[in-house]
Amino acid sequence: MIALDYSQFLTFEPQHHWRVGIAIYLFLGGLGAAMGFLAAMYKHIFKKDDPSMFAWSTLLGVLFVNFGGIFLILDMFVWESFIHGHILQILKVVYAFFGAAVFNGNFHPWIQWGANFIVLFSLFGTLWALSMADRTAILKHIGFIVKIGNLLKPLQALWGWLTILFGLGVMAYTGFLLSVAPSIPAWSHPLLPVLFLISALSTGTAWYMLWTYFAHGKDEQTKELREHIGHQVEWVDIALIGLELLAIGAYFNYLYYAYAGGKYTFHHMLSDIGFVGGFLFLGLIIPWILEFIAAKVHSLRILVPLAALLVLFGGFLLRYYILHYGIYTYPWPS
Amino acid sequence: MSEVKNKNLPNWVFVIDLNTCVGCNACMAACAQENQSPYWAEKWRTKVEQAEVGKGDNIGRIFFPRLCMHCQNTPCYYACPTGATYKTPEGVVMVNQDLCIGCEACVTACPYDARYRYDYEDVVKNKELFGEEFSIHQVPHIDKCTFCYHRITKGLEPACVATCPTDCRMWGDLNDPNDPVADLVRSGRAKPLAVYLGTDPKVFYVGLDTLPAKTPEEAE
Repeated sequence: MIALDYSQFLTFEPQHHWRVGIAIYLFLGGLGAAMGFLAAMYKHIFKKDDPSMFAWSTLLGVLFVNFGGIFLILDMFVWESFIHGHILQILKVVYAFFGAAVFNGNFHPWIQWGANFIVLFSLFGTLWALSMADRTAILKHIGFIVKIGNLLKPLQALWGWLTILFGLGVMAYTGFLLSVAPSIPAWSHPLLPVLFLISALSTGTAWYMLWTYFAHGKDEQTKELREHIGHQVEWVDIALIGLELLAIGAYFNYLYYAYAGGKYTFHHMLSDIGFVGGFLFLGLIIPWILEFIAAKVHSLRILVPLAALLVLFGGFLLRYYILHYGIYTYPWPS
Repeated sequence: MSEVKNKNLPNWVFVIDLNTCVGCNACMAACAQENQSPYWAEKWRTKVEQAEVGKGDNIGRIFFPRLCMHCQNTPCYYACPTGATYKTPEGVVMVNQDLCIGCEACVTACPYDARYRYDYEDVVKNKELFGEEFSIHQVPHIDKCTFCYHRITKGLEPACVATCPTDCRMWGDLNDPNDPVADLVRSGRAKPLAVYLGTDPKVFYVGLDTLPAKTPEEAE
């Protein structure tokens, strides 16, 4: 018999449970929540008034978050059962998200917190957007929506603050969701929720960069306001990308020095051309440079939408690759 | 060491002696038969990992049986949003099939690769093989080892323990002062996997410090 030191044996195995569908869910969750969060921040903290842009961005944000949620449901068994005719199986999801914690006394699962954050963000985001309906493009021509909006208007600030609160919750949740896997170093990383929060805010600012670039507004006041907001979000995004680069640096620093599985993940992620070339270079560094040039040189404003699209592309790739490099470290030989 | 709050209940422990496992996989077969796990899709509640080690004439093979560790600090329980994952009063980690939505949060949370999807196709195949009436997997769910809870609560050993020809798999009760298997745990000879995770498992291994690899002759 040959005696061997057990500690030299570890097995590294990529997870194959959560893939591109969950990456879309995380990306759209972060982007949509940031759209509502930033709109309500601009309105209630920075006192800017552009109801059409804020209301429509928030409503579309709610749509994105919930559309992303469909990808989570599609990943579950209940969907399999549902398409095979077991229709009531779908009620399990409703119970899981809204009743189970109360009955079980188990308030740990992040997936449950996230589902509740998403519902509350969707509810208050919609109420807040509708409370501006009388001054919002298209909505102001639909009589019953204006009537509902007028009923909601007295509590507009409350709806706005709740949109900010639950928008923040949804953005952070997307990182916390992955943090419950103790043997996956890329996921159980203490910085992941912060990284996803920064990235979500960055994609949110990219949305407003696109909006303010392409939709100038009809009156002079709106044009001026959007130009101002557009310029401001560019600088905010420059700061956010800088922060994201710092967070990415700290993320890999921890991975490298923490433990064997972290080192393994570190080497694989940083030798992947898709991650380095696609996310780090095209999705982060290039738009950072483009935004800086566009902010400084007025004649090169054309770079703004390109940079914004690259930021959105990078936001998706970040989540895709974090999921892709969810590598388990198992304590046995193989 | 794993604790059960009620001292009148058994505090079951599972001990694996790596010195005596010969990799015959009888445990996997017994488990699959007893628990109707989808062996046709290569999904197992318990597995025996194998690895070749050494060079030249000095080569050997390691057999490493593994199963759900029934952690008392339970990552899968904390990840499960529906309460489908729960612990019995004796600390055995179970899945309520009817509550499982298949979100796979528990699968990603498990540090020991002990859970797998029992898909819709697996349910259909299982009913074909075992019959609708005798199928214990009625709906798709996440499946895992239960320590053969239906057997141990009747005083029997888990199927894999009962089958193991080399007694590599052993079953004991920490609340029984005369239990020789529990003594292996109490003495520290049997140790849990990945202590650094803080999961407080109920499965212990003898031979972890000097992982024994069998030479080709011994493996025969």
